Amino acid sequence: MSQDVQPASSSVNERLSAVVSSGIVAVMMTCAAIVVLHLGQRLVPTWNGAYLAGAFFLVALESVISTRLGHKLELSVWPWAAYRATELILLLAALKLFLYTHSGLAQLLADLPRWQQDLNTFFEGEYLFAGVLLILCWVESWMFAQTLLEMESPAIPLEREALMEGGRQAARRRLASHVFILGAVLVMAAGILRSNLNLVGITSPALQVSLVTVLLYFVLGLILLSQGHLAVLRAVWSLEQVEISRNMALRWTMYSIAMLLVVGLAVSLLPTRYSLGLLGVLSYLINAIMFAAFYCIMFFTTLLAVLWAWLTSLLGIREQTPPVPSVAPTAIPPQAMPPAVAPVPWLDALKSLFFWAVFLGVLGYSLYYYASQRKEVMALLRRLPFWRWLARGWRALWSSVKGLNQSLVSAVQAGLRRLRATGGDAPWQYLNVRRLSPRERVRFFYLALLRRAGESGLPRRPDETPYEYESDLAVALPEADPEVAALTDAYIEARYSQHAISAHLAGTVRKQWERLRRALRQRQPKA
Amino acid sequence: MQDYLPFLFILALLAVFLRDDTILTLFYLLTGVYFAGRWWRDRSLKAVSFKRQYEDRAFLGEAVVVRLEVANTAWLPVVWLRLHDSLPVELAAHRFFQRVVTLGPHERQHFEYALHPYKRGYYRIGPLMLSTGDVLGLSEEADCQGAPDFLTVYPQIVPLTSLNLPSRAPLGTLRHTQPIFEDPTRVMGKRDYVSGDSLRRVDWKATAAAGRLQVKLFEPSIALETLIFLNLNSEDYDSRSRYDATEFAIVVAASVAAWVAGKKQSVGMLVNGADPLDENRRPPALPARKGRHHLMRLLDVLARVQLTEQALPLPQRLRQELVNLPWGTTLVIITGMADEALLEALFQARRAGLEAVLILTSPVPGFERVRERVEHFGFQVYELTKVPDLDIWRR
Repeated sequence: MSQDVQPASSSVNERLSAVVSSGIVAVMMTCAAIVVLHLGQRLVPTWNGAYLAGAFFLVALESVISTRLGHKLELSVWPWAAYRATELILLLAALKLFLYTHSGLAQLLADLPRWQQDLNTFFEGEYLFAGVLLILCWVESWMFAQTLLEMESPAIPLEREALMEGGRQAARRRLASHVFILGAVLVMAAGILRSNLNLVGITSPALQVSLVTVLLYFVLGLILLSQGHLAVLRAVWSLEQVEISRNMALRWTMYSIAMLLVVGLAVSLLPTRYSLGLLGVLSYLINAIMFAAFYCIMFFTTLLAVLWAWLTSLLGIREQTPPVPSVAPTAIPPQAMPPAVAPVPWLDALKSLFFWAVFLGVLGYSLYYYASQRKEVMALLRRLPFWRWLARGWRALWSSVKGLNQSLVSAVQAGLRRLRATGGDAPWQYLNVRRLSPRERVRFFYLALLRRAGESGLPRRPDETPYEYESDLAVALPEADPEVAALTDAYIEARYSQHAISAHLAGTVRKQWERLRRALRQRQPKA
Repeated sequence: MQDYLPFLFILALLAVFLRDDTILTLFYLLTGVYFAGRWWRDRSLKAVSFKRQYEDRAFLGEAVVVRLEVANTAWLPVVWLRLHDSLPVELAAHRFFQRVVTLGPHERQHFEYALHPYKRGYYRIGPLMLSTGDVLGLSEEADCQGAPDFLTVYPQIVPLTSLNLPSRAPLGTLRHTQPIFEDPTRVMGKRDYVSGDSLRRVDWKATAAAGRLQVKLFEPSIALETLIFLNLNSEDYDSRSRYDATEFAIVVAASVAAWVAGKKQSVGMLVNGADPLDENRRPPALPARKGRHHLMRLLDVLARVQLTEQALPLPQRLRQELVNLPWGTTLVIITGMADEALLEALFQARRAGLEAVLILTSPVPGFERVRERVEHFGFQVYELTKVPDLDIWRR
């Protein structure tokens, strides 16, 4: 089944990307606006601006769509400026009307004559705040849309390829910068909202801003980056005239969302709280190791003392000294906690340990990867005086750990080999004869005869056929000659014939084997 | 990754000092997506397998359709995968086949492209380069390449009808005029008995019918065991026409081999040239055999062989191989020029019981003099430099 493909200039992928990107930008701006609205609420506790969130979503969406439309119309500078200025004015006017939908039409009628007397009253508190936020939201959405448009440009003539290629990559970096700078502002704003601001004269209580809003912003930002990456790749493929699958954009979006959801779920399970600081955890660990070492030393010392006492008692030497009182091991004092901190139970300590292990592991690997990508950083580090000492120490530690591991593995394997070697003919190798088929039973009893006869000093030579061996056995065990002959015949039949072997024959062979076994037991092995 | 690391580092510091859940979760999220993307990228590349299906041998002018099957052998989907298959310029209008695809869990996709060989040779198709990356573009792209495949394009074969190759090998399946090669299995008629005829030739049934002694007449026949000796030593060709002359020599060798095989006779081949597939670059010696299968082996070698400057001189090589050839073999020597050393070697071959035909594919100055010399030794010689010259064997 051949996959449908289309040239890169196909509008399906691009339209889908444009729609998804526009929606994402709008929701991201809404998340940012919600955090700022909460900030306003913290400053003026009596004000509740949550109803404005929907309005800002529409403003952001409108800004993105308008930017794309303006790009399509290819307006020159002045018409374009006029286009956007009128758009902004209309949005601000609409915002004013929207505010009155919350406060009521009567308020509008009451405010109209006031504007005539003093135009400044038009820009009173709530509207001013919302207006500034609207402008910021509108501008930011516009910048996002502009950056996305730069990345989505269709194929261009080859003579501008290099210029455009750098432009697309630069646009992608700008997009990432936008996302993370705005994200950093949101994180700080969320931190401020959750903090105690009495020191700066703000006495209103801290607001528990929902983690979801900020995380949603970043998740959507990552999806946007993913769309941006797709746009850049698509442009590159278009330049190289590579055909692209029709369903690329849809699957790309689905897979990026799925990955973020899975990672988000995994991240939600990681520890984010700890009761011990890093140094506290380290000191707890050290104390635990010292405690274990002390107990080991006490154990071996006691053992040696007992052994010595026993030896001296054998020699008849009796010490006159009184018995040494048993000394309880000195308990390791709990870690030195700062004053007014309660002793930490072991479970808390374990959680903290786990948290720090995960956190430091992630951080450490990130730093390592960063350094390995920056050759100049590594070169600089190697020039530092302690680096070589550190590297040597690390190598020594790592090689000793590896050596220890190898020794352990070798010891375990040697032990297993010894166990298997002593197995061999170990009696615990159990074979249920009853479960064998009649043919297998006949063969089993003949082989048992060979083994027993060999142990009794009548081994079969490798070149001997069963009948030749039968003759030798008949000479050595004349009283058992009929049984030997019958067993040999039965074995030949079971071994080389194609017809079925009856259970009756197998039973007869068993009896013959038992008689032969008794005869062999009575026989003395040859010297 | 390096673009985001400063932000992550600041996040980490803020998380530790402020003990804020949000910041720490963000830190985990951003590093988590990076590592998840890398892991997905690496796993995807390992899970992709591909297979090319096509006829690995073709004649000139035949279109070869290559079916490329790409499969995702794992449950993890492949977000994007770029396929780049290199193609030899002699076979395809485009230098490569390329696509960007997305593969779902255990999904297979098939692609086709056509190759149009117009020159003989042994061509490499591929290798297929596979590259992919993570959805966020945080880490670099990863790639791997699959093993290439090969296509053998046979040389042109000109259908010949009457190639009068001399032979001394008796009792074959080809008619001959020399009565010395009478074949007792091929009765062509009867005549009256004359004194001196062997009684073993008497046809008793015909005798009974005619009432007088009748003897059988046997048709002469020969076996045509042919060894084609193709010389691709560059020193034996004029430098101005070396390429065309050697290529035409290969065409002549292929055409003669096809004719002989078509007559159900044995044909073998020795090439004094270079074989890129052999570790010593020496083409394999193919002893005379019958059958289409053997002919295809000859064509396989002819598809690959190349001109060389490191071959032995033709007369020396000829003398080396003569000792291994059975009596009655017909040598068809295809080369660019004939000198005294070669003629001497051919004379030795005749004394050893072999017949020889010399075909010169490069224009030889003073060819008439060469012809006189060669015919004096009792061989046939031809100067054929282009395909229409083969019409002498197509009448």
